[in-house]
Amino acid sequence: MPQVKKPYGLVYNTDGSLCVTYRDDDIPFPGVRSFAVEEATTNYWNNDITDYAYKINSGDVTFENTVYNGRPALKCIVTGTDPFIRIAFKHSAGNINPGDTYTASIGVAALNSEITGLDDTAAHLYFTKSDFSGFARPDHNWGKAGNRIYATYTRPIDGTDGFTTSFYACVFFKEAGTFYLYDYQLEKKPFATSFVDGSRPNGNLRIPVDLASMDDFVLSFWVKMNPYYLQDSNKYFSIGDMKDAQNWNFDIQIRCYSPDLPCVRILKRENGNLTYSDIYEEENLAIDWAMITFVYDDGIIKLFYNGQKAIENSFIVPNMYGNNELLVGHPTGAFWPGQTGGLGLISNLYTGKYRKPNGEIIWTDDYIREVYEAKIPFPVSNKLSIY
Amino acid sequence: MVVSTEKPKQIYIFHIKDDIKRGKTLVKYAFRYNIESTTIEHENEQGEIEETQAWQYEEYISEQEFDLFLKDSIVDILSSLYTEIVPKLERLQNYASVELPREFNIGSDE
Repeated sequence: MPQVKKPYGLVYNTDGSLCVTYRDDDIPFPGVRSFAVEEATTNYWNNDITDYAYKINSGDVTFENTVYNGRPALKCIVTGTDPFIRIAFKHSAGNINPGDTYTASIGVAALNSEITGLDDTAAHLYFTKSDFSGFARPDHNWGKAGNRIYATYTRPIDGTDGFTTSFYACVFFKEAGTFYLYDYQLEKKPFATSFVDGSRPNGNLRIPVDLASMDDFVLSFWVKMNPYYLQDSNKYFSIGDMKDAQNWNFDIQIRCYSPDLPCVRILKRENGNLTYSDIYEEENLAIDWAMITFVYDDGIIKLFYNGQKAIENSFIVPNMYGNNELLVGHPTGAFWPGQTGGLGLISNLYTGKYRKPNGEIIWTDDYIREVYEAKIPFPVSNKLSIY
Repeated sequence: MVVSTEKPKQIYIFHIKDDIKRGKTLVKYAFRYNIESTTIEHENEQGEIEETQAWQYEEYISEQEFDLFLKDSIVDILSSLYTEIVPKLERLQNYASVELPREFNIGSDE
């Protein structure tokens, strides 16, 4: 089947299946691909990095339009002792309506050394009305994810910020060095996505698993949540056989019951009863890639977080609702009122048997730890599809 | 902590495997303890959210080999084991819930 290759390192089959990314900050370790579990979006910067301005309070900076990892980039050579340099990227497309929320994100890579931290002392991102004014960052919810910095801004309903037809997102450098700015994108969303310019086909990733005929199975994957979806208990990420709010039997959820404390939990519905497994709370779920390994074996479920056993419960996995596949993410209408499906990235997905036909366990606790520590890549199945 | 709208039995046997050749039987079981009544939000068939009766509990999963001739006593043996083990598990649970500070000095708040 022919493949479509898009900017941002995204590849998918012409039928929309097998949508994977090679983007360097979208994978947990080299040699694997990540599946797009995010919806498509529009990049208002449209990969055009020529429209920028800069201001130097101290130090010096030179620019060069170049290529970083096969994609357009701006090379910035910052020199001087204690440099203080701001680079502003303009957004001027159309009217910016009160109440609109924008998120800017820019990849930052240091040429010769690791950036010591994408924080106020190295580089950060903020929105301003003109190119360099409005230095204060009220409500500019900014952060970092891997080598990307991002900032989110919502125009006040009363329009008092004066952002009418344009605004700037400023990258702020206080460290000498040679930096690449790349993959910069501006989206009309409250969070940064990986798949911009409509590059990701619509639909959900579905994993073919015939649970009804399995006494034992393993579902292992790496996940990186979009932190926006871990702000409250009404937003959550799930892998299950959910068809809609009423029709599902099995679900692995990542969500926050307590503010800022993400957890993993397994749910089942059978014979009219609802059962929740133990909760495993892990604050790093909102920050880093994590390997989640789910094991079902003869009435027992186990869940391993980064190779360590976190949950073990007696739990008969019920028959799948409808057909034999697990849905990653949510279909429309799968929520209670006020709830939202979480988006993120899934990588190095594996499904298979827990035991050999002779009963010998393949995925022992030690083996799971070994898979995590060795970061063993599994081949991407061409049976995986998004629809 | 497991939460279920189905009231749990205190002891659950996953399987019993007989090894006639060795005269042994292997029992895999779960002890459910700290069983408490609670309520959870549940969606009814009309799509409305309502509070539903549920139970929350902890689980201890283990397996034990018995001589095959003891098979008809396994229910009694597990019941005795439950009575013996669960108070210890409950004490262990208290240790697990102790929260440790991430950083601290020895014997001083300074």
